[in-house]
Amino acid sequence: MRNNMKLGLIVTVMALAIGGWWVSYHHSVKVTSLLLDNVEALASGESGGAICYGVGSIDCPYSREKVYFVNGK
Amino acid sequence: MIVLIVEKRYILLMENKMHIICISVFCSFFFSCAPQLDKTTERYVTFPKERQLEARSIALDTALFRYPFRVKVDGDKVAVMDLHGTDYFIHLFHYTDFRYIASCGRHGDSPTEMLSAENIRWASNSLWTLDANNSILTRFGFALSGDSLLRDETVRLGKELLRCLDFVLYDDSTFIIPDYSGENRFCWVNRSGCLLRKTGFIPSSNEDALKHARPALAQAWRSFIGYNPHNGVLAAVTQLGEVLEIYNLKDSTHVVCMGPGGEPEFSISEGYGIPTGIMGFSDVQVTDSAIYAVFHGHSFKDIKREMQKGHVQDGGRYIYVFSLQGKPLRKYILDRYVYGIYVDERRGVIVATDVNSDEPIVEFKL
Repeated sequence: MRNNMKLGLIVTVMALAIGGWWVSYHHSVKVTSLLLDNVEALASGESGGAICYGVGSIDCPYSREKVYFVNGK
Repeated sequence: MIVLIVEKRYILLMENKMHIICISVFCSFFFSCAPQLDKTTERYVTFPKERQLEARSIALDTALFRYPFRVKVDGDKVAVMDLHGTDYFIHLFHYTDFRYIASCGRHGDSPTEMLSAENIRWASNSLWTLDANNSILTRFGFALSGDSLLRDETVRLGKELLRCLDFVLYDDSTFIIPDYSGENRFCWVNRSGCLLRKTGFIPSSNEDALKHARPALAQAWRSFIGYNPHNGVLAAVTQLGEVLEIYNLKDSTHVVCMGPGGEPEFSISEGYGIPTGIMGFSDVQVTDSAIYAVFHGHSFKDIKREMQKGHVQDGGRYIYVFSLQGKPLRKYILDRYVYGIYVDERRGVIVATDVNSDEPIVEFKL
C-alpha cells in the first residue's frame, strides 16, 4: 500500500514537471524582430575580458561569430 | 712517457676538431637546403597616383543579401558570398547583367548544410567554399542543366589545423590556408584535408608576443589571402593594421609592405587577441599585373564612438594598387564603403560589394 502511494507521488511529480516544461516551452513570447536584433547586436559573444557587438567581419574570439566590434574591458 | 701522453691528447683534439668541422659542414648544408625566403620590408606613406571613382549600382532582380562579403567571377558567371546569409551563403548570377541563377551552401546544422562561410574560389568550373565552424571545404559543381550547383565534394580539414579563416587553391591537389596557431604563416593542405607542411612566419616586431602569446598574435594578424597561379604570387593583407605581404612562390621572395597604419595592434584578454588600433584591409586580389586591396583605415576608437551615436558604416573607401613586387602604384578613393572586390581588367571595371546599402553590388569604371 505504502509502495503504491510512493509510486503515485513520483508519477504525479514527474507529470507536473513534464507539464510545466511543456507549457513554458510552447508559450510564445511576442518579441519584435528589432529587439532580437538589438539583443544579438549587444552581446553576440561575451566573456569576462571582452564583448563582441553587432554584425560584421571580425572573428569574435569567444563566440566564433563574425561581429562588427570587439570591446576589450 | 710524457711525449706519448701529449701525442694522445693531440690526436683526441684533432678528432674533436674533425667532429666539429663535420657537424658545421652538415649544418650549413642542411640549412642551405631548407626553404628560406628572402624577406625585405618596404614602408609606404603615399601613392604616386590618386583617383576618385564613382559607383554605379547594379540592379538585382532579387533582394537576397544580409552581408555580401565576397564577389568572384568565372567566365559568364559571378558568385556572391553572404557572410551572414540566413538561408543560403552563396548566390550565383549571370555575369555581367547579374540575372539570378541559383543559390547554394544552405545554412543549417545537418551534415549537408553549412554553419559558416569564409570565402569562395572558382576552380575548373567548380566553386569551392570554406566553412570554418565545421572545418570543411566544399566543392559545388554545375548540374548538367547548368542552372544549379550541386555539392560534389567535401574535404574535412585535419584537427591540427586551427580555425581556418581563408583559403586558396595552389594547384589541383593542394590548398594554402593561413595558420591561426601563430607558429607559422601558412598551412599547406592536401585534397584529403591533411596538413602537408607549414611555411613562413608572422613578420611582427612584437618580440614579447612572439615569445609568449603566439595564438593572440595570430588572431591579430588574421589575414585575407589571394593567389594567382599564372605568376605564382600569393598576397596576404591584415584585417587589422596596414600590412601587405607578397610571397612569390616561383622565386621564393617575400616582401612585407607596411603602411602608416603599421602592424596590427591588440591587447590580450584571457589569451585572446582583442583588436585595438585600426581596421585594415578587407579583401585582396592578385591579377596578372598588380595587387588590389580594399583598405578601411578606421580606428576602433572612432568606430566605437560612431557606433554609440548609432552611425554604422562598414567597409573601406580605398582600393590600393601595388605592383607584384610591392611598389605602391595607385590609390582609388571611392564614393561608397565596400567590402569585397573583383577586378575585371579585361572590362576595365571593379565589381564590389556594399554591406550598408539595399543596392549591394556596385561597379567602378577604371
